[in-house]
Amino acid sequence: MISSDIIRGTIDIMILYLLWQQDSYGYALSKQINEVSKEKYTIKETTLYSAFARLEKDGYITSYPGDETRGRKRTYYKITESGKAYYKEKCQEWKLTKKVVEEFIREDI
Amino acid sequence: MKTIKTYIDNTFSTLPATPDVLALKKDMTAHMEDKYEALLSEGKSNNEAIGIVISEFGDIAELAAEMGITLPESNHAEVAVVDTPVVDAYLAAAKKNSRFAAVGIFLVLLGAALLITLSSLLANGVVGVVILLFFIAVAVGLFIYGGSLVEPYKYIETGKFTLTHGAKAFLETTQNSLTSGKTIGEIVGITLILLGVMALLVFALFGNYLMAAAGVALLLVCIGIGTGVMVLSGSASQGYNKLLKRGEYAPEARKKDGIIGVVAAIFWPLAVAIYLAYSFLGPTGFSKSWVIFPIAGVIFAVIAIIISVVMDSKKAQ
Repeated sequence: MISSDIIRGTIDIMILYLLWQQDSYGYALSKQINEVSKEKYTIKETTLYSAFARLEKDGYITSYPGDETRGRKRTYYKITESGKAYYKEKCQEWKLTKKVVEEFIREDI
Repeated sequence: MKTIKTYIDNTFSTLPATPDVLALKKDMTAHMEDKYEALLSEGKSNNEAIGIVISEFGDIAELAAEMGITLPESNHAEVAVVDTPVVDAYLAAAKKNSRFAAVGIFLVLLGAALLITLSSLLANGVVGVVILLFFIAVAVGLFIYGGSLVEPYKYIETGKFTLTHGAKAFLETTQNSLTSGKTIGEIVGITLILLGVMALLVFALFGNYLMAAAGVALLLVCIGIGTGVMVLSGSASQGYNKLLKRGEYAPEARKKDGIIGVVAAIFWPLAVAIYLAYSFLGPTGFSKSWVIFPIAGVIFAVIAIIISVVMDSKKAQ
């Protein structure tokens, strides 16, 4: 079980990574996050859509209406060039974070 | 699917209906429906699928914060928030209360049946009136005690509360399991009352005054048992309706109930006063004065229906 507090700062990385592969929409992304994480993490819908709103506001992603399938129209998201730069930046930040936190992890206490 | 739509509607009802919010609502509904269908095709049951979809929805406050919307805080402070443990405790208390209410209703009607029987046999109603008053006193005690069980949940009875998403999802997913018990209870209860009516008609065929009185007494006992059965079997779904603010507990229905309640509070004491006055002062004494109650019952039913129809037609306009 992963607490939402810890994962919150890393959600942007997951979303930007997946959008770099291809444009996608909410449900498909949440399914992919679940699969890539080997079902260890299921993103809450409100967390996902909050991230969309935040990333779009900051210009890292853009949205466009997709085609209608099974009577439902979905909003697709596309990563921007500044989104790609931001992703790389976030990856570096995470590596550093991981290193720092690792120093505090002991299994044998 | 309908549960998901309702859930989304309720969740988004706290947000202003801006184009952004409406677009988001549409996307999130499609998301939930996609997930729901995928879960069904994985072999999950309808209830399981809805439970998972709702539990993975998250917290609307998170979204609101991201969109720069401040949720109305004052609302949360004034209105009680009901979560799943409170729902459980309330439903248990309501069930106990319904047992006391069922016995109380039965006692009052039994008392009335005894009054009719005794006053017909003895041509003197005082003994019957005393017995009826005694039964009413016991019943009132039961009503008060039963009521005290749900007293801590008065805000639920009066509808001044909001459900947490978890509690709402719990109620909506478990409500289907109640309907059969309620239906069986209603069938048994109504059958009993109809049997009572038939017994009255058969007894009336004798053309004998005593037999007619016995028939009415029997009918009252049948109504007592039938109503008791319906109160007991309906208590769970009534609790659900109160919590979900549906049916007779929807805000507009409550207003109607209020008016009928006021009329009842004036009407029934008046009927009792007329009964007592006529019994003591009238030419036939106690032996026939009980007829006032069946007549009053029919008149009251007509008044209640008229209020109901008038309120509904007002609402339709």
